[in-house]
Amino acid sequence: MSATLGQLREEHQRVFIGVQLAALLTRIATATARSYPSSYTSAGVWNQDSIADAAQAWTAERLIARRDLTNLLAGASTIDSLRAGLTRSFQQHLTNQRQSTSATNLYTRTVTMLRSDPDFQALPGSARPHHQLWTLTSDPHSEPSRLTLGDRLKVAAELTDDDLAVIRYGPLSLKSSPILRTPALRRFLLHVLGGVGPLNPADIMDIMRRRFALPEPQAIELTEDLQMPVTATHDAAMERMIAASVAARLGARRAQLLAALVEHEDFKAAGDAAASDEAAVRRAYMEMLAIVDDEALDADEAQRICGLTLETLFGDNE
Amino acid sequence: MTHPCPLPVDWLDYMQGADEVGMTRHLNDCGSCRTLLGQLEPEQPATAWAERFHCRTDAVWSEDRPAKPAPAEFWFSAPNFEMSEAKIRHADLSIHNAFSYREVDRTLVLILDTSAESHDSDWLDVVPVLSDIEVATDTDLIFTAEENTLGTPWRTVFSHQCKVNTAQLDTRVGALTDIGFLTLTEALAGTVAEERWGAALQGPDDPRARLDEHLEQAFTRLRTPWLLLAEAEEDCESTRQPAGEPSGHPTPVSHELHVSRAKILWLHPIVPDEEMQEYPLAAATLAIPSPHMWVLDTDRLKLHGKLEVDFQQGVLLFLITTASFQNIVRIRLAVLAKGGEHHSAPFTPRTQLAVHIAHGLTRQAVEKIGAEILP
Repeated sequence: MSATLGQLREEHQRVFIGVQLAALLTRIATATARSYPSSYTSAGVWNQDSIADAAQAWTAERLIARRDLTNLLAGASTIDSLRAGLTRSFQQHLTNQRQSTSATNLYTRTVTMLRSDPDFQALPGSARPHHQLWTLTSDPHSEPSRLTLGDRLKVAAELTDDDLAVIRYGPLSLKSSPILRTPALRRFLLHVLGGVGPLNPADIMDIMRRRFALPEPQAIELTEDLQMPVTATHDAAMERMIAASVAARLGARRAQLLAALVEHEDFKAAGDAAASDEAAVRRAYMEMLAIVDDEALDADEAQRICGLTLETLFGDNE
Repeated sequence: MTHPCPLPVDWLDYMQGADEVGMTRHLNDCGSCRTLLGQLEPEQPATAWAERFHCRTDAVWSEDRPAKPAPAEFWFSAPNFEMSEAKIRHADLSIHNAFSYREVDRTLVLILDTSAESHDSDWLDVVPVLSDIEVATDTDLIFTAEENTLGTPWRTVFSHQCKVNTAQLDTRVGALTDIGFLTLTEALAGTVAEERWGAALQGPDDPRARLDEHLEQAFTRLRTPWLLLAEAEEDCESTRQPAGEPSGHPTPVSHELHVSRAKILWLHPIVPDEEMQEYPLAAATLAIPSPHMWVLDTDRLKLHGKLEVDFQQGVLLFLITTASFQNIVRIRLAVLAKGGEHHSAPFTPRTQLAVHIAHGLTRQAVEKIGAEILP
């Protein structure tokens, strides 16, 4: 039979994770992982091995490094609230891992552009790619920038989101090319290196992370033949699987609001029909888009996945 | 009425025989959960992966209960709290000011200051802390793992700073280290490095703009007792003849109880008559009335602006036409409309800034606008 909250706390104090907590954490990871698309695991498929890998990474990065397990066990008033807290922690882990991948893509694109665009030139003397300083060909400087991060951010903020056509949320925010399209990325790099002085890729990413509110990218090796991420779209079967995972994560309330939106094709009418309001329907729609955007590789695919998601939910309600 | 969905792990239990009538009923009504259930497999996964974490007791906290909290300490809030009518100083308060909760989740908070502004030392300034630092906004101060004895980084959610009674606190679990305390002191003085705060919200659709419902409820519970006292104090002051007697509590800061913030400055609508009186020359030369103009004119913050609707986005905006301030870094707008409360994202006031208020609101629906000063 399932352990009580008191038994779990006692086990935690004694051995951190014993038999009972291991069983609970495994069940939470197993059930929650399967509601996410297989792209959330580097194995490409959810099975016992990839779920065990995810559970292990979650435990190391959240339950220990963030003390989530200790905090949740101490704070929970019931076993149900502990299970809910652990589920949220695992979801945060999966999402953060995924967003790091997107940030890594941006980092990769940045380094590739610095290497290939004649408007940028490398300063001599850097032995390692991560430490390689880059400057403008048109206005080269030989010393690294001495500005503080705060001052660098001020320079970065001189170009507004409108200037850069930043796309964060909505059906045009692509997993493969987050935040900045190629021309805007080039403009941003020219502006920052011109205003701040020579920087290495890690410095540039630090500025980008804060300027565009990105997570920490994953560590990658900057080899000479650094490859841009592949941006082929998913096949129809995979799009259906992604749509099912989006539908599974929306929950009853958002599903109900979106089903009403499909039926009435108008935010206000849908809000009235679902005994809610226009803002709630719009928010549910935007939240669906945000989940879809984590998967879609281009705007057409985002639209198709949205359609399939709504079809799944609305079809079920008929 | 839609009931909250069970967790994925609840559905795994359900699949393996833990049948509950309520879950079956929910399944009939919820396409999302039916889809989720279709993705689960009736498996008994192995737990061998967890063996490497056995005996990591260095990551376990210990709790104690000193007589009084001190600044820079981390405390869990109490699961039970009761503030009876008798606890409120003024005898003529109505019964609805009693407040209690029982057996709720405990929330981790950082003690900021134990020298309450009032003469009643039972009230402390605290700020909730959360472990998901990757979603920190520019009102969240980030502490590194080295800056506290809990051994993990934190974001301190200053947008939910509040006063709590010592009876709302349960146990102490740790404290800031000396270097962490220095960071806190610098943050409160406004001199901490910019990178110690999270990244600014990127717009109204930024998912970081909203807290999970369980956190909203927990933070509301924490701040409610003090706000009830403030509300009661205001009621008493307004009925006292004449006013002038010094109060045991600070001057109440919020007129509506449900706008539960500690530092709200209310803007005034400028109707055409007022314009005539206050700006006779302008009114004489400008024929266009401005019924949706709002103004705040205090020593600390001066704000003039107007409400506009972005009809493409369906968003109510507050366009700032004039802004000046002293000792303020960030504010957010609190808007009462249609019996509800809406908040903008935090921002630094500046001329020409368009502040997003909420989707689906009209200008006519707005009853009050307040500027909430954030730490």
